[in-house]
Amino acid sequence: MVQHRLPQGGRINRSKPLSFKFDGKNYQGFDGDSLASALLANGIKLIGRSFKYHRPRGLMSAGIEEANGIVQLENGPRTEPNVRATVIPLYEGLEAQSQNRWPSLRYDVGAANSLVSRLFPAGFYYKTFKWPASFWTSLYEKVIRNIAGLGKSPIENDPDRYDKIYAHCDLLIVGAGPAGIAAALAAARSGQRIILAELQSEMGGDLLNADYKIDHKPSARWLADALSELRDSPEVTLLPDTNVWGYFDHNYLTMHQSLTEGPFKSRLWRVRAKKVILATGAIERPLVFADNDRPGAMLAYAGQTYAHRYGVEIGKAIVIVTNNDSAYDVAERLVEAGLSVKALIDLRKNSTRTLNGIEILRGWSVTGVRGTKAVRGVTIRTLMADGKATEGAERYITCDHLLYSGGWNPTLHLFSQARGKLRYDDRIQAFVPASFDIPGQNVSVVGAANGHFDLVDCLREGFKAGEEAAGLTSSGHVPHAEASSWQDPIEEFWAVPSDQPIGHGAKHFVDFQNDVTASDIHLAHREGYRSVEHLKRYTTMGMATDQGKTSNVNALALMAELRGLKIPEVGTTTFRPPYSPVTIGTFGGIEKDDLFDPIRMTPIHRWHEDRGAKFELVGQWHRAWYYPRGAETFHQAVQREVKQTREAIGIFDASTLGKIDIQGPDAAKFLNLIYTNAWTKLEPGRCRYGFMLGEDGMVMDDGVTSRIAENHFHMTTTTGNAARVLSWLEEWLQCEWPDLKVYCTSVSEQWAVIALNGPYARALLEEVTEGIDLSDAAFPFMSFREGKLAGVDVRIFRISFTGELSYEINCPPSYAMHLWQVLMQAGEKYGITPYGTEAMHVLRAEKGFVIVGQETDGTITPYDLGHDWIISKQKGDFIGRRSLERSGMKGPHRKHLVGLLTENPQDVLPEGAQIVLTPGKKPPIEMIGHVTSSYMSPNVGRSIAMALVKNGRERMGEWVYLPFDGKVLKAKITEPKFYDIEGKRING
Amino acid sequence: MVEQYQRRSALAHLGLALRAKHSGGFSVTLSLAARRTILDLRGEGNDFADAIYRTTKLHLPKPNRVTSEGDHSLFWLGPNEYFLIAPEDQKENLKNDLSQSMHGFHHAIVDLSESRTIFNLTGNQARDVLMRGMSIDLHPREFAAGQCVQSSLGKVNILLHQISDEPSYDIYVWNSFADYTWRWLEKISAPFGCRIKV
Repeated sequence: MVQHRLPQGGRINRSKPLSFKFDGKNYQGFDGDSLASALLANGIKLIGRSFKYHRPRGLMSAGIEEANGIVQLENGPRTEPNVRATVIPLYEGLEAQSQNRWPSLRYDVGAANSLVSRLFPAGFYYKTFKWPASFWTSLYEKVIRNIAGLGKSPIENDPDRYDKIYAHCDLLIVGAGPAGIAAALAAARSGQRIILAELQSEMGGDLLNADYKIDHKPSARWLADALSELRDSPEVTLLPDTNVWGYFDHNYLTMHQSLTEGPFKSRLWRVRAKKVILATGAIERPLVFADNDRPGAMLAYAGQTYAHRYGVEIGKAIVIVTNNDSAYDVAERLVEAGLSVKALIDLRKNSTRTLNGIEILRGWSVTGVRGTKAVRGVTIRTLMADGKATEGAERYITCDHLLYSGGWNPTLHLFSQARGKLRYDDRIQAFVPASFDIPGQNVSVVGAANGHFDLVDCLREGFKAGEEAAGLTSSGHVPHAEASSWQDPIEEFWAVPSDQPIGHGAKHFVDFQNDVTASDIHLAHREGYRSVEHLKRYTTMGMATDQGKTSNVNALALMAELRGLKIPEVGTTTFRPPYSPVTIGTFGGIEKDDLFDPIRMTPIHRWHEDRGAKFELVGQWHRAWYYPRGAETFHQAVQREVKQTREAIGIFDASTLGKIDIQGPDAAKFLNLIYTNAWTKLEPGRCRYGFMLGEDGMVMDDGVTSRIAENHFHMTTTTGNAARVLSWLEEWLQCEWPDLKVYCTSVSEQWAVIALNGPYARALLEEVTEGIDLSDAAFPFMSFREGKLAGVDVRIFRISFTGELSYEINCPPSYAMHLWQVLMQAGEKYGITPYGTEAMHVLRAEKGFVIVGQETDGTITPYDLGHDWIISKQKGDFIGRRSLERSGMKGPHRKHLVGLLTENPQDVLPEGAQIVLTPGKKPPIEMIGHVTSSYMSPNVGRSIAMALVKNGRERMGEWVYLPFDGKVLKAKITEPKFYDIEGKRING
Repeated sequence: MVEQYQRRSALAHLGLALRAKHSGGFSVTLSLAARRTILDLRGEGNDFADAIYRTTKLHLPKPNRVTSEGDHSLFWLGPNEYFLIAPEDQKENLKNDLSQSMHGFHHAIVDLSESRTIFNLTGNQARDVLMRGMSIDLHPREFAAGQCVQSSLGKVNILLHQISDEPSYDIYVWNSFADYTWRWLEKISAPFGCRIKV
């Protein structure tokens, strides 16, 4: 196989060859190669097809900014789409495929798009997929889905493991080029905690791509020494392969580190840094000339990188085109590396720098590139005096590689994410930081990222910033290098003129990945999309996976030119994280499968599980939902549990209820303010049911609260609201009523709760308790007693959510399982039956008891529920009272809680079904309410339902209609009570 | 008469003894700590501080600190909230003594001994384990033995107490989260080599 390698040089290890596959063919590279450099070294210039026109594309960079050379990496569950070949270190056995082509990379049917490119102008989605609306989902979505995206997502589960970590440091340095390394060296002396993060697997930045002298040493030697010094500093962490992708408030940065060893594929870092130094370097800008996207045409510095760092012979005859001096350095280094540079085309007429043995064509423009799948040559013409058009005879230069440089953009994505303001620097014709002073952040920018491209400046600026960040006052030795030989200023050539106006003939690409050309920007301008944010969305410029790293400034400069404005007047688009795409698996870490989210378990959970219970998620709790016996269905099990509870004893695990201990001399006064009813006269030992309202007068939570002692209450809340209610109480105590002497403490998990319901509940308790007189007179409804159950200290509340004779036993969780088993055993002769949350719902609905969050939805008042009795008229203020007293809170327009009985007692209404007054009408039709709860009740012997109905209490006995699923059910409005309406069963 | 064996830990179903047998490694040790008395003490001012001192000889700790004396420790949880940690059998005496010494001023003593499950994580990489789930800076310069903090570990609220420089940490977690938190710690610790001790 022909290797296009230079005879020597490069940071590759030629004694360690690696084999890899591209599009099914075997190739060989070396350790130290990137996938991109290995492909180039094998003479592969055609790597992919472009998004819209399917144009043949090759590598256009050697780094993170790559827009063309994106591949599908690996196969099966580990496959990854849209991977930049430039950032993947080559490894043995790597497999990659080209993307966006069919049937093959060389012969791609989609390339026909190119022939009819006039059909795909900017905004063609918005223009084409518009009418008729019936095609939106039936046709257009399918078409768009088919053409959108480039690579394919994996369809199997990701077999890799990911790590997540939090970190803190005194100084985070982003970028380990000369400026970042100098900053780290300076700061390391302080002993502070420093993280130096670098995108590439090797640290050094520009020092990897060229030879300089630093402190009289070869730069490679200086680099090795510097890194070894940093490695030996105990509080310095060096993180290669790390993409710092987000910069959030208060110096909180997120990083993604690729790992090659150990159990994890990558690690997500969340770093809080006291100080940040951004040494993120600069990215070269392409020149926008005719057919600038041909395989073999690339950024000038990328050419130098492939030759110098990877020892790739990028071409036999190279032509360079530039508007600035940096490409002259490239030419010199290519020659040093043994390559042949045929000509350097300088768009500037009056540049002065010369190069030994290389023809320099000043004031010439590239008017076209020959070759479709690989560059074969360029045509050039002289530029007219204004630089806007070309004239004279065309000249043709054959070449097999074309390098371009349009200047350099400081990499300020992170700085901008941190809300740093940019200013346009005419000297380098690029945006630079306007000021490092960003409220809430502590950041400085050094080196090329700060618009200082010269090595000597990078070293000095980085070193000084490192010393300052570390608070060092005595100055250390600043690493020194020679100044560069850049002498003439860069000149503007945002669209490089060819022999025809923009939009005619060849394409001038601005955004390579999304196929946005200069003529698309002209079109957007003509059609009025002139703001850069509109321009971006209309043309999709900068919206591909590279996020416009090479295209944004060119695009907005072109728009500025069209609008006759200066570039800063046009502004930039908003920079958002991530700087570069991050694998989604890294956000999950180990928190997947059975660790995805906490599963809260009661102390009796295991018993329910052993008994075959099905569980229901309530918040994070797993609650026993029902306990099927044998082949019982859900319905059969629930019906049995409901019936057995009313006829014998039902036992229920209510441990998940929220419980709050409230103590203090103002506790009763506090409850008066929190609940709608009065609490001061409640005697110790007694319990009361209460409603909490929001400030809007709507029901927020309910529960039973008991007076343990004069200044001591035990509040219960609904399971789902436990944490919210405690926060609510604390908010009022801390912010509004700090004068009240009350302490609230969550005791939700200090007590497990076992509820016994049913006519034999008292008989069972009499057998197993000591020290409690269970007689109705001694232990009446809505009171509690303390004593022993099976030898364990318990607190028993005689309260009921089923309407049956009922006791809620509160016990220490460590004994809960034991007591449950004692009760099951002793209760066997009474027919004790465990019931789950579903049976609990049916039982309370039979009695018309509401569930907050089911009968209420944040828009329901106690009046709406018919609970006028719970609002105290005597006591003073309470939360929600003022809202509740507004005139509009009562009246026929309000929805009231009512019962619904279907005409056919076997029909069970679906919860959520809408209620209308007249059947048979087609929508739109006035809906007067909806079903909130609906069950088949074995105790009532028919279906029952509760509903919220407009003016429902005035509609008793009326028939209403519930259309759903193509049929209509008829139901009668009743009181929301269905069973034991007199309430006698509560006494057993 | 009720027997101690009838009590059940929140991890009883995990079969820790078997897990311990199959665990190995040397970087961290994860264990379930014995039950303790946990009294939540609420109050403010000199009377409150004096009452605690009279009963326990413990001074009120500064924010996120722990004061210890003999087998008693006092954790700062908030501006008016402290945890008194003591051996389990001292609970009733402490409750009574504190109640008497705090008589006459606004305070609350709430027994939370049954609400928490306590783990211990010890070993030279214990900090690396916790960094996987805690946003708190645990570097020895910032967080050392004798400090405590309420924060989250992964998706669970915990109370963390560094008990020694080794480092060794006690992790207090609500019972209902104990199973999840234990399995999370076991899995996170595995790459470091985690020994499970019963």
